[in-house]
Amino acid sequence: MKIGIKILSGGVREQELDVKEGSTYEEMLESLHINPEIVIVFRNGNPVPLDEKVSGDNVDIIRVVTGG
Amino acid sequence: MKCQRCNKAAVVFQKYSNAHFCKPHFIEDVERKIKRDIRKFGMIKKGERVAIALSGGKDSTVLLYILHRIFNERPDIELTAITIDEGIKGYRENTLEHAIKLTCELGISHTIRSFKEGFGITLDELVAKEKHAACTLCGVLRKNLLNKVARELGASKLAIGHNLDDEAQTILMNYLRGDMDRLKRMSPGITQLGLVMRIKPLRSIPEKEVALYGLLNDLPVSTDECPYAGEALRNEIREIINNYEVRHPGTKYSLLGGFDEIASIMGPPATQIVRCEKCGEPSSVAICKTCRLLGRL
Repeated sequence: MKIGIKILSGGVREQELDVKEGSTYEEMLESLHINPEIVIVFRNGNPVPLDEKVSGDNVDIIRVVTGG
Repeated sequence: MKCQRCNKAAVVFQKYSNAHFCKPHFIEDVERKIKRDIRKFGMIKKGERVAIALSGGKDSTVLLYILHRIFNERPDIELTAITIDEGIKGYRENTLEHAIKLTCELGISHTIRSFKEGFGITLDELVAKEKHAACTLCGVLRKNLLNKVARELGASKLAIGHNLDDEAQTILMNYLRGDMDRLKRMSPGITQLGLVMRIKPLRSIPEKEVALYGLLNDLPVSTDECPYAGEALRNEIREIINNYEVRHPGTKYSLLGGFDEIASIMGPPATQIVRCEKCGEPSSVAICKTCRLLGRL
């Protein structure tokens, strides 16, 4: 399944991602090499639990833990 | 996924406790942990004036908001905010604006003091002429000025926004450096001459949850990064702990819990606090680190 994601970490990066049916947001982050401890994932503007299955909606990944 | 308390849609999964929470129950969970720690360590007591170190970043913003929620109705406890403007061009202006807006909205008195006023030089100027790392200069000078302002305001406690991630990192860093004296000084409730007692009400809240709490309460959660790169060792430790936490959920709490147990059987810090010969501020040696960094020798 192809989904559109937006990564907000300093700047904004938009990309399309191929996700395996039935995979979770945590697995999606793993495939992007993003540590789940430093981001919050939003689906249609609302935060989602990372063990939830990815659906085809708008996904924003916001980095909330920064260095320094 | 459903909230384990009310069956509404969950906004968070806490892997370390295997719990799902909806927005109201997540907020309740964060506030419960903070109230528990305030009670457990006697952080804030009747009749106290608590100064809150408010940088305007997410942690201190959430700290101020929550302490106001908890103590707003208590006429015997007074909250006041302090912001230190280090003079970091292109960064501090934004968070300073957040800090002013929030204290105005909540009706909390607010003192802003700059490095320029306190030391006659901004951090940017100091970094340009000193060989020391920006974070060393900033950390030492900010702590010095915060303490001085808190004392001037007659505060009995100084609340700082250190979260669980910060605490876990500092504990591990001190272990790795073998710096047991610094580790002892981290214990809650340590009193030292001339230093307003520091309290850390967010110590049991993971950094990510502090941010989520802020976002869910429409607080300004700035994701701007300080232009100075951060302490090299801390950045390395942060990554190690976060990688470990993913594979072994609960690691951050284990580090903190283990430290609390060790702290309870460790003696007081060996370092004797004296007054700095140059500026009179508290110091562990004859001339304090602030004066040494500023070249007041």
